[in-house]
Amino acid sequence: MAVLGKRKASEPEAAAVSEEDANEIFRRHFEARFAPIETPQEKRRRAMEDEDEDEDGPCRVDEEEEEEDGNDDSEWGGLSDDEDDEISDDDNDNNDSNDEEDVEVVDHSTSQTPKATTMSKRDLKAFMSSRPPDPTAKSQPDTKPSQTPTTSTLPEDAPSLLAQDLELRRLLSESHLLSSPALSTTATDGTAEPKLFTSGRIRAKATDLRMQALGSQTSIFKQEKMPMKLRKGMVARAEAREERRRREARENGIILERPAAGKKSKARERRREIGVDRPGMGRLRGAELRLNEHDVKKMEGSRDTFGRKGGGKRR
Amino acid sequence: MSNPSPEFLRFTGHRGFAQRLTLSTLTGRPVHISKIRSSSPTNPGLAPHEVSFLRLLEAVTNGSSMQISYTGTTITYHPGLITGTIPGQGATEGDVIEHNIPPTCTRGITYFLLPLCLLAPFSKAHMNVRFTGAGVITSATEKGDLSIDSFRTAILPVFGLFGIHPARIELRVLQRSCAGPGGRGGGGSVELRFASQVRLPKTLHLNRSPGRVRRIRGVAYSTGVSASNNGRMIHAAREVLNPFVSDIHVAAQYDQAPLVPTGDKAGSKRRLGIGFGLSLVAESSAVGVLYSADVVVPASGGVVPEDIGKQCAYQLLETISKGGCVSPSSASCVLTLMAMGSEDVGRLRIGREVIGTEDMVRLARDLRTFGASSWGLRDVEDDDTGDIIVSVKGTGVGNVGRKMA
Repeated sequence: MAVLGKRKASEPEAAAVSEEDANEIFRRHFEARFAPIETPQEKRRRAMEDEDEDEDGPCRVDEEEEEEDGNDDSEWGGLSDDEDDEISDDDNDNNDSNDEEDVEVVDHSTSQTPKATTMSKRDLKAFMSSRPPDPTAKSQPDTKPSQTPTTSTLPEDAPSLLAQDLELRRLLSESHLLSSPALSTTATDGTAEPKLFTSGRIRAKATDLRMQALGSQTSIFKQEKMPMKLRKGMVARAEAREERRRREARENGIILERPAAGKKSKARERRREIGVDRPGMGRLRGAELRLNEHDVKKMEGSRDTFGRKGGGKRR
Repeated sequence: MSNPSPEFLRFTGHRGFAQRLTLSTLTGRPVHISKIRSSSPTNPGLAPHEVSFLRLLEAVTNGSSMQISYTGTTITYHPGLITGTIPGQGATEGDVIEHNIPPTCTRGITYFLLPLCLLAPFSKAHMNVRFTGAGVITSATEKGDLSIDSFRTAILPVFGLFGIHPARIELRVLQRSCAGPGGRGGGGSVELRFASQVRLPKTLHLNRSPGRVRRIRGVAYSTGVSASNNGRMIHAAREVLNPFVSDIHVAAQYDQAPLVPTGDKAGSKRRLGIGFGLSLVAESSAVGVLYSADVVVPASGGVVPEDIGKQCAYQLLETISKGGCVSPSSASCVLTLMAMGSEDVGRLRIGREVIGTEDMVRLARDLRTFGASSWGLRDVEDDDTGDIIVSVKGTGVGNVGRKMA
C-alpha cells in the first residue's frame, strides 16, 4: 500500500525483511532465550544414528568417546520398559505409564477401595462361630454345582416345577375374573366405555383370592346379609347361566372342566336312611348291635387332656 | 504315693517358661528354674504374665505347689494332677474357672491359651476357663503372640489330627481388645470350654507332601477404630494374594473399644485397647495342613491399614514358603502332643527353616531332659523342597494324674 508522507525512503528497508525472515528472526531470538527440549524419541533417534556411526570403525577414538559420552547422556531415555512392567500390575492405583515414556499417566480411578468381597452369611457363621473348624470333617463347600443338575435334567413342564411356579398358579386362579359378566359389554351398549371402576374391582378380587390362598377365613366381598328374594334371584340366574354354558358346550363339542362336586348332595345322601326303625348308629344283626370306636367316642362326649369339653377356652 | 520325691530338673532363663511348666505338669516331674532375667536391672525376676500363668496352673491343677524366691529369679514347681473344672473345688464359679489377668500384662491371651490347650486333653474333668480382667489382649501382639482368631482357626483344628475332636472345643470371644497404651493391658474377655479329653493322643503320621494351598480364610478385626480399616486391610491383602489363590475370603469384625476400670476411683472406667489387625490362614489340600499369619498395628499407632494388609499377606507367603506340614506357630504344639502320645513312633514332615529355630531346638532339648526320647531327623529325598521328617517316639505318659487318681 502506498504510504503517505515522507517516509518513502525507509520503506524499501522494511519491505526487504519479508515475513519469513521476520519469523526466522523471532524464532532465533526465542531459541536463544529458551533451548529446545529433546524428546526421548529424538534422543533415541540420535542415539541410533550415533551407534551406527560408532560401529563403522575404531579409528576415531576421541570422537567416539565424546560421542559415547554424548550417547550416554542421550541414550538414557528414562526408565526401561522392563522396570515399568514390574511396577505396574492390573490393580495398580497410582502409576500407569505409557509405552513411549513421554507421557506419564497417573490413574486414580481405582484408588477407592471397592467394597471388600466378604464371605457369604452361611460361611461367615460357620467360620466365626466359637467352634474351631474341623479339618477331618470336610463338608461340601459349594452348593452351586448341586443346583444346576436339577434344573438341567427336568424338562420345562415337569409337574414339580409347575407346582412351584407361582405366576402360573396365580394366572390359573385369577383368569376367570377377566371373563366375569360385569366386564362383558354385551349387557350394556357396545359403544359405552368400560367403567374404570371395574378394573380396580378385578384387582381387589385378585388380591382377595390371594389372601384366601394364604389362609384368611373371610372374604370382604362376600355379602352376608341380603334380602331373600335378591339372593334367590342371583343364585337362580347363576345356575341358569352355568347350565346354559354347559349345554352349549356339549352341543358344540367343547370339553369343559368337570362340574364342581356339590357338598349338599353328599350330605343328603348320608341323611337318607335305610329305614325308620333301624338304630341311628352301628350295625344291627339279629340281636347284636356292633358299634365302632368312632361311634362310641362320639356318644361318650369328648374331653381333652385337661378335662375340658371340645373347643377349649374360647376368647 | 509313697515313692520318694524325684529330683528336680534344672533349667535356666526365662525363655520357654510356659513350655517347661507345661511339660512338667504333663509328665509329673518337678522343675527348678533359676536365673530368670537375673541380669536385667529394671525388671528382674518373673514378669507379670508369667506370674499370672503360675496362678492359672494353680487353678486348673490340684496339689501343685510353687515356691518363688525373694527376688523372683528362681522358682521351684511341684506339679499336681490336672483336674480342670470340678464344681466345688478350686476357683470355680458355676462351671467355669475365672482367671483374672493383671493390667500390667504385655502378652496376648494366646500365651495362656496355648499351654492350657496342651494340658486340657489330659485333665480329669472338662476344662472351662474364662479369662477376664484388665490384661486380656485378644489381638496379636508385637511380641509375636497369635491373635485369638488364628489360634482358633489354625491351631485348634490341628488337635483333630490327634483324636482330640475340635467339635467339643469351644472358644468364645466375649469381648475383643487390642493392646493398651504402651503395649500393656487390654479389656478383652475370652471363654474356653474344652470338653474333649483323651487318654492318649493318637499317633500322628503327617509325612506326606503338604499339598497345594487351596483356599485362604481370615479375620480382619477393628476394635475401637473405624470399621473401614477392615475393608482396606482386606483389599491390600487380596492385591497380593489374588494372583496365587482365587478362593480368598476374609471376615470383617468390628467391635467397640472395651471399657476397662481404672484404678483411681471405684466404678470409673475408660476405653482401652483400640487397634486393628489382620489374621490370615491358608488351608492346603492335604488334611490338617494350615499356615497362619498375624499382623497387628503397633500400640503407638501410625501405620495405615494398607500396610498392615500387605505385611500380613507377605508374612503368610513367607510361612507357606517355609514349607512342611506345620507352620512355625503350631509346630511346638504338634511336637509336644506327639511326644505325649502312646509309645509309638509318629512322623511329621516339617520345613527346614521351621525346625531350625531356637525355639524348636529348645523344645527338643527340654523334652529329652524330661525323659522323652530324642527325635530322629532325616531328609526327604523325593522332592527338592528340603523338608525334614521328624520321628517322635511318644512317652506313653498321657495324664499322670488320671493314672494315679
